[in-house]
Formats: sequence, structure tokens, C-alpha cells
Amino acid sequence: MKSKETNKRRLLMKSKALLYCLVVLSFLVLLTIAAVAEEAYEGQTIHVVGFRIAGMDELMAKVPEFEKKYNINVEFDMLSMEAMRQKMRMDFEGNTKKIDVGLSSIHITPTLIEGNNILPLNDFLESDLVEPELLAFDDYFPAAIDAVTYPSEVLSGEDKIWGLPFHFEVQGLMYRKSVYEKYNLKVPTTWEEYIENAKIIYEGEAPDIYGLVWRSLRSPQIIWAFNQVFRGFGGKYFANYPTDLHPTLDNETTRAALQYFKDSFDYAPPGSRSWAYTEVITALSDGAVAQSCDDLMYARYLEDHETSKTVGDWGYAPIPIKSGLDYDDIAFGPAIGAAEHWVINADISDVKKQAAFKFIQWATSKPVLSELAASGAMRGFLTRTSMYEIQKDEEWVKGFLEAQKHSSKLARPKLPEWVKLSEVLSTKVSQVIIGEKEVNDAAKELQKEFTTILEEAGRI
Amino acid sequence: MSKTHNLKRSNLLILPFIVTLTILTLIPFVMLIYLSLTSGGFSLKARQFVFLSNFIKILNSERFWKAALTTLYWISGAIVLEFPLGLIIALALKRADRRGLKGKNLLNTIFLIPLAIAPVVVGVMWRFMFNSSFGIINYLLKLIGVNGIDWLGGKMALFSVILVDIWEFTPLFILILYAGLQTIPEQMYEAASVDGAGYFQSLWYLTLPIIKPVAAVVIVIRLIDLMRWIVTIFIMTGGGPGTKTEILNVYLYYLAFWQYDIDKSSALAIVLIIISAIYAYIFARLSTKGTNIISG
Repeated sequence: MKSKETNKRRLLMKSKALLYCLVVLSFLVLLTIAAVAEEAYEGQTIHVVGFRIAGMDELMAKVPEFEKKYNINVEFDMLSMEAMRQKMRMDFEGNTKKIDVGLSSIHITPTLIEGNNILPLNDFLESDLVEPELLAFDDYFPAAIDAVTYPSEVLSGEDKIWGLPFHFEVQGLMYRKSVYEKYNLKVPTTWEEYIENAKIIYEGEAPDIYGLVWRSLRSPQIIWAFNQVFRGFGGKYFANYPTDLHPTLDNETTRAALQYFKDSFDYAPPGSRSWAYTEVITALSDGAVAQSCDDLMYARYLEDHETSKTVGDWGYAPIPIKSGLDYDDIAFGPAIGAAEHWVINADISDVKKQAAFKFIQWATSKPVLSELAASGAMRGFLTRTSMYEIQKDEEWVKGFLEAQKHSSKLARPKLPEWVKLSEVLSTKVSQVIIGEKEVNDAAKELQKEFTTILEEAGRI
Repeated sequence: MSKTHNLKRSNLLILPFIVTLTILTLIPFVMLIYLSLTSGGFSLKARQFVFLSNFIKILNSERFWKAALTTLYWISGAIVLEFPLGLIIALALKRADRRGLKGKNLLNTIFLIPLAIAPVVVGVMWRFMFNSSFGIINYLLKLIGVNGIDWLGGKMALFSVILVDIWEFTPLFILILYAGLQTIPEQMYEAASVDGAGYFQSLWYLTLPIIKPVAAVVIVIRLIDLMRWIVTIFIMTGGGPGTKTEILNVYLYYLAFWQYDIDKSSALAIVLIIISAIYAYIFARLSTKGTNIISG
């Protein structure tokens, strides 16, 4: 009896000991697996499309560093801007899953959000995939994050971050300091002062130097220019964006903005009613024009000794607004703050999404963008505060910081239908400036065509 | 081997080519028709049949008819100037040929250079040349006392793009018409000369009737080409200023790739195909017609 009990006790002890060993061994095995296991995204290949903008060549040159660090292969396609946007839309909407990461913008992001084609990043930004020293979220300019946040009232889902900003650009005023000094002109804060300065310069200097220049080629370029005037006059495209999208274009404000824009060409170089970005920058860099209101990223050309004859002669300031108005009166601000941002295809596998997030985190990271800023590749863009620190002695930076206070993520509507609306707007504005259409007729037709497009889309 | 057997074997040999060509042509065309009769953006899955609604929207739009009129001006302007200019130069080359003038081959080469340059390059080049402020054309005009012309920013825009097309494609007329002129035997001109015909009489009664089929072919080729042209216009003016240079193909581009309106742009593409098909029919008829004076 005693030996039976003893045997039982021994068996129990042995069992317990065995159990303990198994538990400890399992723990050790799991620990080992965790230590040596590859991250799920490693070994993945991601297909990235971009276009040649400032810093992109330099970023592409650094891709092997990313590939080595994360063991993720990157197939990088550099296309033209239009080709890239078309390809992204076709691939994302057509669900062909060939592109994993693309460089998007306000032109196509709203449509991609609406179609659930791209991934909101909020969950990723709070996940283990984040490397705090890389992402450094607080280092982004708040306006840059605003630019990649899209309003839930007009788009599916909540207000979310839909991309990480690579570029953040802002519109502002650029003026020749020497010409201003010569005529004792002050930096204009109103559109009236701006055109008065243009008139004085034109009368004193033309045809050697003209008073102003706009991008006016019939394309998104003319919208970039006209929108500043329209907003600065207090214009609103819609009754109460983003909740009430009934167009409000057949009114005195629109007519006044169109008339101002048309009349301003009297002080611009002849033939500039169809100028694109290239001609405008050439004219400014050559010293043929003394002022312009446009993207402050022009500074990368105006302050480049290789391309500009006017280096060091440029001052930068915020966009003017109509006299009698305050910046706070302007719905959404007069200046566009826009960001080219990296987005992730929502239809790819989970591991590819992780790999894609790793890439965009790296591509917009504090170390990478700081390096690009230090090399001069990102002159004109301040996506992060750290980039400001590197470039803060440059004249354009001071202007940029002032200008971005009056810029807004909503200065250009973030609607999927904006691509159609902007094409109509571009055509009408172009017709007005060459006298093909009267201001009154243009305002009426804009109201009518905007209404038709939004009704067809079910927005009103 | 019988004739029938040979024919069957020949048909069998070219069958793979015909099948491939049919598939490559037919499938996109069928897809286009499907897109034009349905609505649903880029998605192929969630499309709804709207039958002729897209066509009605296109044909009801003022912008379509304006673009159609601009297209008519564009085609007429180009052909009316390219053909006579091409003919004159081809005749001059032929005359130089007959007289054995040196440098003819060099001239031939120079005339063909515009045709050899990529249309994108042509567009960019002329865009800068036409620039009112710093373009070379206005600079040279200024030297002879002519003040800056606004080539691309105003009423001159359509004329300017037509001018570029003339520069680029007159060489095509020269090439083809010159080849046509080469087929006319010298003896015919000698015989005409013996009968007392002068240069212009030979030209009117002999040369032009013989090259008529060749001329018809090249004109219709250019007509079809002009209908579908976009490159230089898009680069030089973007269809603007306003809608001054917006031909139907440019309007189609904006519908498809700026507005991303796949439904309406597919319908417009079908309309353009129908118009081009009519031209192609004319081409087929004219190319089989015509006199054969040489063989009698």
C-alpha cells in the first residue's frame, strides 16, 4: 500500500516536472522563433509609380538603401505626371493590382477615396510598423498633414489621413526687390495694390520688364492662378462646402474676379494668355517680369544660379486679398496648400500593404527629407519643420512660412467631381481672358455647368 | 497543282495574320462600343446599360459642335495649303530632275526633315519659337519692323497650329506626288511638246490627270490623319486659348483623361470612328478609280 502511494507520488512529481519542462521549453522555442522570424513584409516586391518632381531623382537613387535595410524589393516606374495619374486611376479603379504605391494629389485622391481604392493610413500610423525616429509625425508641418486629410462630409468614411506628404507647396507672392525699390513700391496686401504695382512697373519698364505674369494655359495651370484671385475676392464655389454643394458662381464676386483676372493681362507680357509653367518661370528667371502670384516652389528656379539671372533679387510674401476683406473672411483661405503624397492601393495583400507602408514612411521620413533638403533638391518645399531648420536662412523660407498661414487644405475643393468642374472652369476662364466669352456669360455658364455636373453625380 | 488548291493554301497561310489582326482590332472596338452604351467609370463590373444616352449628351453639347466646326477649319486650312504647296515643290523637283540640276538629292533630304522629326519635338519647338516675348519668330519680325504677333494666345492660335502642320506634313505631299510624277514617261511630254503644248498646257492636260489618283490617295490619308491629330495642338495650345484650337480629338482627350468621363468619351470616340470610316470609304473608292493613261 505504502509503495503504491509512493509510486503515485513519484509519478505525480515526474509529471509535474515534465509539464514544467515542456512549458519552459515551449516558451524558449517561441522566444527563439520570435527573435529570428522575418517580419511579414520582408521579401516582398512592391511596385511604385512616381513622376519627375523635385527630389524624385534623388529619392530613386536612395531606393537601394531602403531595399537593403528592409529586404523589400522596389520596382520604381518614373512616368510623366499625366501618364502616372491616368495609370494609377486605371489600375486602382480597374482593380488590376499592378501598382502598390503611387504619388497622388488632390486631382485624383478624392476619386480614389470614394471608390475605396486607397488605404486610409490612420491605423498604420498607430501600428508597430511605425519607426518613430523615421516617421516623426510631429515634425510634419500641420498644413502638410491637413493637405492629405480629406473631409468625410463629401467622401466616404471619416476624416482620415490618406497619404504621407512628400511635397508640400504653398502659393504666395514673388516680387523683384530691386524693381520695388526703384519705384518705391510697398509689398501689396490687396489685389488692388498688386495690380497698381503692376501698372507702375509696366509703364516704367515695359517692354524690358512687365508688371505681372500668370500661368494661363488652358489646363489645371490656369485654375492654380485664377483660384487665388477668386478666393481672394471672397469667392465661393459652393454654398457651404463641404455640406451644401449648390454652386454659387453666378454672382458679382465671380464676375469681379473674372474681370480682374482678365484686365490684369494688360500688364503682362504679350502672348502670355496661353503661357504654361515653363514660360512663366523663364520670364521670371530672366528678369522679364517683376511680380507673380503662384507656387512658391518657383524659388528653386529663381534662386538657382544655373537657371536664373535674378538670384537674390526676389522677395516672398502671402497672397494678396481684396481690400476690405480680412484673411479670416476668406472661406478656406486664398492660397492653396497642396501636397503630392504617397498612397497605398487598398486591394493588395496585407503583407504588401505593410511593405508599402514601410516604403512611404521611409520616403517621407525625417532623415530622408532632411537629406534631400540639405542637398537643395527640395528648395521651395517645406514638408517638415526639420527641412525648415536646414533652409531657414533662405529668403523664400520666410515668405513660405508667412504664406502657409493663409493657405488651406480646402482652398481647392476636395471632391471627386472637381476634375470635371475644374476642366469646365479652366475652359471658361481661358475664354474670358482672350475675349472669346463675356464675363457675365461665363459666370452664368459656370453656374449652369457646375449644377449639371453635381446633379448628375447626386451631390445636389 | 490546281489554281483552287493554291488559293486555298494561300488563304490558309495568311489565316493566322487575319485572325490576329481581327482580334487586335475587334476586341478593343467591341469594348469601346460596350463602354459607349453603358455607364460606370473605369469599372468593367458595375456598369449599367444606358443605350444611346451618352451619344445624346455628346451630340447635344454646344462644345461638341464648336469642336466639330474648329475641326472643319483645321482640316480645310491644312489641306488647302499643303496640297498646292506640296505639288509646286514636287513639280519643281521634277523639273530639276529633267534638267539634271545638281543638289537635287540634298534638296529632297532637306524637304523631308520636318516629317522625320517626332511630333512632340515639333510641338515643343514651335511653342517656343512662337512665344510672343522671347520667341525667335517675333524677334526676326521685329528686325524688319513688324511688331510682336500673339501667335498662340489669341485669334491667331488656330492659324498658328495650321502653319505648323503645313511645315510638318507638306513633305508628305512632296514625297508622294513626286513619286507619282516619276511614273509619267518623258516621251509623253516630248510628244506634247511636238504637238505645240507649252508647260502649263502639259501640266493641265497631262500631268494633273495622271497623278489625280495619287493626289486623291494622299489627300484622303491626310484627311484621316488630321481628324485624329492631337500632339502638336495639345503641346502648343492645349486646345486653347479658350476653345480656339479645340478640335474633336482634343475634346475627346479632355473628356477621357482630364474629366475621366469614360462613358461620354467612348461615345465621342465612336462618332469620330464613324466620320473617319466615311473618309476611309472615300479613300477606298478613289484609290480604285481613276484614269490609266499610260496603258491606254
